[in-house]
Amino acid sequence: MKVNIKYFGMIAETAGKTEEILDLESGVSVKNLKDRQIQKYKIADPESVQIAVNKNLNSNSELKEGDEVAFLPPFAGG
Amino acid sequence: MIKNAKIGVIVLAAGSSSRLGYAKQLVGFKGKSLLQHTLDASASLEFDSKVLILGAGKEKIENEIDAKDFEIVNNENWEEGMSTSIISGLKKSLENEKNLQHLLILLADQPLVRRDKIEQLVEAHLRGSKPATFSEYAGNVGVPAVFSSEVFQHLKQLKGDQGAKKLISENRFDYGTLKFEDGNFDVDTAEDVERLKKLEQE
Repeated sequence: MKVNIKYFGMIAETAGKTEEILDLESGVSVKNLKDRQIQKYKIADPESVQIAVNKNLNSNSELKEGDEVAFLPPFAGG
Repeated sequence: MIKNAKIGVIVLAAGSSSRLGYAKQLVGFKGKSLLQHTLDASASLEFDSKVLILGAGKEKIENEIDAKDFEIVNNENWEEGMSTSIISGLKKSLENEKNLQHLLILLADQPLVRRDKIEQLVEAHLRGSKPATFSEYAGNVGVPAVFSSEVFQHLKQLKGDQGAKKLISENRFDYGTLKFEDGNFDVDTAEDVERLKKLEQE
């Protein structure tokens, strides 16, 4: 399944990109994806990274085809 | 407030903060949430448009506050930063009042910005001849701030997480300031919440 990942602020700078599409096995959880990407890009201060799935924070559910997953810095939006 | 000028207010409350682990808009202070303090401070003032911008945690926040006569705008692009909230708020304000002359921007996490400070800031802006008036505290200049229609175009050009301070740093236009002693204390971290608790006891 394909999910669209977006990176914001310092996380985008660390990852060297603002967006990518990942082809994941079905059943991957939000937390699992978060851990993977943090490890992959060596994102600092992982505790502070916020995840929003389809614009909603704190989603702990399994990801679905076509989901948009945002990796956000400690303070996002305004 | 001032009857012969068309003034709108927008409250920016679309952001998220992982440092707290919960919506900072809903942090309690003196018996009500931070956002409710901001809404209450301006609710009794006469504005030609009142707009509240929500985004992160919109449904929970909407359920826990009394928005009074504020129109709620859902900023679907809240993740992209503060500029998206400012732009969507300005757009809605101009829909509400097409002859809008001035726009006041307030934040959801400044509980010390009370009604009298808002009135002072707006009055200072209207008395002055500058296209924008910012609050100043301890040498810092920022929001709450009032903008006249001649600089709305600059607000519309903000990108990503840029806020009004970006316009100051780029010297896009002349502006005035009004000094406050404690008005801009905002709440981002657990330490800030602790400071709030201490203030509560004073």
